[in-house]
Amino acid sequence: MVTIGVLVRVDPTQEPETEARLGVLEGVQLIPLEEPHTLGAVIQAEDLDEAHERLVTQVQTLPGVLCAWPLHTELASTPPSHN
Amino acid sequence: MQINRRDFVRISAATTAAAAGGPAVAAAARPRAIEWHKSVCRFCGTGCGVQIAVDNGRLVALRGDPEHPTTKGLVCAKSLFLPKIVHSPTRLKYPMIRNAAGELERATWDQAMDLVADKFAQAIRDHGADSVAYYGSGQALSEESYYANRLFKGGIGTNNVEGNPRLCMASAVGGYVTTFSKDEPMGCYDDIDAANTFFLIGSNTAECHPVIFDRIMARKQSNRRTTVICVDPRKSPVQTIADLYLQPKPGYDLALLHAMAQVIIEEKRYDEAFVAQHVNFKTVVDGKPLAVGFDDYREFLADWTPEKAGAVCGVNPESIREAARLFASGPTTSFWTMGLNQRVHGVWANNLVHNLHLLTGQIGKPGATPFSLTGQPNACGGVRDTGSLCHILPYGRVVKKAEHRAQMEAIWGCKPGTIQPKPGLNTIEMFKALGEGKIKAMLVLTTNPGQSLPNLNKHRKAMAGDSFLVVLDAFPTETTKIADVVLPAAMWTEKSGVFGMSERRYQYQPSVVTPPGEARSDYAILVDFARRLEARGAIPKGYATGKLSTTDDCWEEMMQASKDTAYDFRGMPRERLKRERGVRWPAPTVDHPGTARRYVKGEDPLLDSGPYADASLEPGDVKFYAAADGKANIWLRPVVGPAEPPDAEYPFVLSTGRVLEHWHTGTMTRAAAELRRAQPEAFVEIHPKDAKALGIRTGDRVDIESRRGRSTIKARVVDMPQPGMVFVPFHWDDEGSLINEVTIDAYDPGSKQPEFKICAVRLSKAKS
Ligand code: SF4
Repeated sequence: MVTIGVLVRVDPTQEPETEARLGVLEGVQLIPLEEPHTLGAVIQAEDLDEAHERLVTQVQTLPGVLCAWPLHTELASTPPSHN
Repeated sequence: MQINRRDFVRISAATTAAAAGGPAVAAAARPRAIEWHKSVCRFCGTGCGVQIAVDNGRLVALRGDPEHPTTKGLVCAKSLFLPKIVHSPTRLKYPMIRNAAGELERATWDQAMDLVADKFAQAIRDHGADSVAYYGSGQALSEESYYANRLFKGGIGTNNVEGNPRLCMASAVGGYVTTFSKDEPMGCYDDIDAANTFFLIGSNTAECHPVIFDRIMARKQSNRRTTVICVDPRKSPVQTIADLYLQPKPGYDLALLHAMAQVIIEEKRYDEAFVAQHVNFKTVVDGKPLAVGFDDYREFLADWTPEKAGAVCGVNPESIREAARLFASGPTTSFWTMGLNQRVHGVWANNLVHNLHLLTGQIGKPGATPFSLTGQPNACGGVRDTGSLCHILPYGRVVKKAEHRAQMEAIWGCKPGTIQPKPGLNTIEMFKALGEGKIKAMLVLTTNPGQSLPNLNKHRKAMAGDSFLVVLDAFPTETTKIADVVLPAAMWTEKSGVFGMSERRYQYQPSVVTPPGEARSDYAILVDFARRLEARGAIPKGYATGKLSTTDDCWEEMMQASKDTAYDFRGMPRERLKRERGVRWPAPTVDHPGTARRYVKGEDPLLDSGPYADASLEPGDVKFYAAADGKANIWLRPVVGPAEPPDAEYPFVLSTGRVLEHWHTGTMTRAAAELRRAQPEAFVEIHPKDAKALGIRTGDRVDIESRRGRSTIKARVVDMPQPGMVFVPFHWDDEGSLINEVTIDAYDPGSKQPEFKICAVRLSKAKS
């Protein structure tokens, strides 16, 4: 299981609609942030590939989203050893 | 309830823990197991502060550092994959020597290092110091570049010291030095929060410096007066936020920049008092700089009305006027990268941006600054500042000045006269000399010239020839494929030292995990190499043995070398850098907070004490103190096009660059399966009009051919490059996709930086 905490910068003229669109995405939990025109989104997925895919294809491309920046990523399991 | 970024990061971390092992784990077990460390992103010159988590000796998490003063917790998607990249199974783990059958074979460190030292010592003995060379990297630690520079220039006695920053920012250095008499930007990222106009020229900030782009966007969100001017022959995601987009013909933006200056003067939008007090005007006659006056400049610009310039650069004259007006209204921050630097007239292009700032007084105050961004994490602090190029010495010194050589000889403890007064070979000439057999042995450190040099066929042949090539790297690359010896290097979190990013901020990164196999830090390898050379009499006795054994020792010497220079960072001892989120130089004392804006009284400590001090200034006054008269130069530069414009035989312009998911030659980012999947292969962007004329559709394979070579790459038909232009990212090395086999190695006579951005090609649909 992987989690990415994402800062989403939204178009100020479409803020409520964008929040609503984000709010219905599966596996995405929204957290209001103090900074104006931004939202926190926690994306959970089976692995990093899926989380990244969701960030790129679901969140970043949503109308009203100007950009989305990962603030935190955590792999619940240790990456494989290179030795 | 609304929360701040820091709490958000905590909450998302707790969510992971809960997902991994339930709330009990989140509350108890995981926080105990994971150690978090402050560090810096390994990729670009934005220098984002990160925190990395180590569990059981492995990196398991990365987050933007919310305490970081400039990047404030943001990172881009590339950095998410750094933990996976560090632990990639494809890492190099053992030294290897090429055997008689031409294959790389595992060796011990002693075997490999003895062979390397023997070959270098023999070349120096038989052919002189200039028969060996070093080619370094803006990805090495500052201490590593400094040590290599010290070894080659002060130990061996050759100035054949170069590095990949020659390919990416030498023209920016040339621009700063010729205009302000010293390298490096005077402003900082804080300026973004005070700017009303952003002038983004030749910079795909959105994909190449995403966190800076976000800060620009945040400024635009919070201040409705903010306007963004984007100048780029190719549309990029930057254009999506541009209020004014100018699309010049590739290679002709010098005309556009002159025309903006012409409008500013014509409409009396310049800052007369600033110009009178702080600016000289210069031109070049018979190869020598000549002082001229403001009237000469005005007369020179009369030739560059927006109409005349528009005819040359292909931009609508009214748009040029609008850009000039917005620029002059300010506060204006300019950002640029390779679009200006990788050009045969890159220094001039840099000068002309500086001209606009000087003319309008848009400099030395919040939000007003000309700022060259850097593509590598440590090209500034590591290579430019440490003087690790063929013509310079640490902290603003140059090899040509006897006084500067003497200072460094004293600091390095070498015999007077050891450092040569003549610059060594620049990158292109160095690889040419390697091919001609004049360079007998070359050390390549943490860079991949086998993929990144222009006119690659020629230079790969040189690297694969009879001369001896040793390569230090963390991953297999196109260069390790042709090296005689490959040394496995530790990377990023496996070694400790300093990175210096674009805004003069020096940041410490700790070693928190062990390297794979037998890999060692580049620094340890260099120290070992130096001591073996000393044992063979190739450098003076006592020059390396017992000295600067660790990066900590080296940092001490570096701080002292910055004394009485414009870079003074004696206030940055290791302990401070370990504690703080970097410090911007100059910072001459430990209690100095670091300098946001150089050359400004009250902000720049060098105006208060030391060789540049000036008690006559009032707070807020500007003085370009690196110049003898304290003034900067506005240059009257001619408008000249690219080295190889398109013609009937090769009718298209090829430009190269990057995409968001990959970084430089892709050896790290392609090691992350997710990034590889996101952008799996090379592509060539072709404008729909051209594609139609050539019968090419997206997905077709296209032959891209120049006078030097050919690549065969899949087409992406898209309205991004202008008609007559194609764009190819240079991240891939699969069969046929090495685009640098096509690019040109003509270079700027001043900066010696090659013109990656423009060469002439022809296109055809590939046969199969
Ligand atoms: S913007 Fe640059 S420094 Fe920041 S996280 Fe992305 S690649 Fe790293």
